[in-house]
Amino acid sequence: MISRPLVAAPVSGWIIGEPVAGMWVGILLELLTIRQLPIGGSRYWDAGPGAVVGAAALQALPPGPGALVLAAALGVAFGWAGGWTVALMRRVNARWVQPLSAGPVTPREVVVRHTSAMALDFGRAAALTAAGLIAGRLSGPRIDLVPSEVAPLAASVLLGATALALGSDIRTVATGRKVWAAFGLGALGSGILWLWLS
Amino acid sequence: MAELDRSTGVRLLVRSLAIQGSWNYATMLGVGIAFTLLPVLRRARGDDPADLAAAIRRHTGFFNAHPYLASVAVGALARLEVEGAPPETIDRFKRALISPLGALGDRLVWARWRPFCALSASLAFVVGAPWWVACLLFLGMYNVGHLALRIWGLRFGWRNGRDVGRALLASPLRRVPDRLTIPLAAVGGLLLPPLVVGAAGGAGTPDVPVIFVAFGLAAIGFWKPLTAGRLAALGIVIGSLALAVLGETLW
Repeated sequence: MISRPLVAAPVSGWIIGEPVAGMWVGILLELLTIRQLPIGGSRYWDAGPGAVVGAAALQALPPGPGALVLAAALGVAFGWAGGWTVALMRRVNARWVQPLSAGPVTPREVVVRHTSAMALDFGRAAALTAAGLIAGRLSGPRIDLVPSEVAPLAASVLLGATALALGSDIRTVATGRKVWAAFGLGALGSGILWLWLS
Repeated sequence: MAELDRSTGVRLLVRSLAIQGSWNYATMLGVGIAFTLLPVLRRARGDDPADLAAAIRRHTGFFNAHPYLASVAVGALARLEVEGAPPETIDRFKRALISPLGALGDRLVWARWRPFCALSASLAFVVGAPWWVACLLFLGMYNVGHLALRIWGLRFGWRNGRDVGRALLASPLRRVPDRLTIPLAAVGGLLLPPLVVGAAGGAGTPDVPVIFVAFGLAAIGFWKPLTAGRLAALGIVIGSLALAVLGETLW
């Protein structure tokens, strides 16, 4: 689970000196991926490399909501691309392990094919992350955001994305009137408490 | 009943952590099951190389289940192999386990436990916990459940052997996803206001309108989850492009 955005992004952010902004990017990406259930052969984003790339991009961006949106967008793009590479790797794996069901098999052959498939996955994720870090390094310094000018737009995007994603996540993984009620009461109570405390 | 000795049990558990290592569209978890079962197959069929090779080939065939609950299948298959069950019985048994283990595991872990841990850790962060506490909270909570499920599954499978399907039907684990539903939704609700205020706070927007707008958007997310989820991701991408244009640069 260290590859989940909630861990990968803040740890990457910590490495470049921006752990809190990295955590925000991680939460955003986590909310966008919770509803993608890795069931059967379904295709889903590979959120880990996306989270690392997104959080690392924060280093080249001026602090503020604009940076979070841009970093999250990089995370989305690389998470989506990562999903395609996972699908490709699974096809490669199917060919790679096919000889195991075609003839006499030794334990060593199973271990070699299984562990080499894991090594391939490791290499795939590392290559994807490296490509993202290089792309971020090349393009990041060219982005010159002025926080006061872009902040309202960026804040609106963050507000919309988080609220839509959270509602969508809860509804995707759980259904029923009680779910509505629990979510609504939780939100109402938390909102009142939040406003009262602040 | 044969005993599952501690060292074999630990080896099965450790190997089961890598059960998805060669996941593929043809045999899915098949090779992972064979890889995990190797210590038991060597013990049960190691005297006859041809018998061992046949057993390994049998287990590399198609199998799918939730990766954590696959440990139930591993435990039960290990016992069947040790007891010398006929190959046809083992094949039928494996096929029968695919659906229940997949359905229960997906509901329990992917649709309840993981979101619950992620939202709880996010809630801790947005109400003021340091980022590393939130990370550790997520990792700790999630993995306590994850490892407990794997260990329980292995023991449960071994203990029940070929009756594991029936035992699973009577297991209290089946009720856990339903019991997690309301807490999950409540944590999601509790998270919404501080999350959106924190996310949109950099612009200095007043909290009240932000929270009201968030309620409306979350309701849209409830109403049209698929569209809303796509819209959220698309909004991030389009928003970033707009920001890049605003920043007078082409990304």
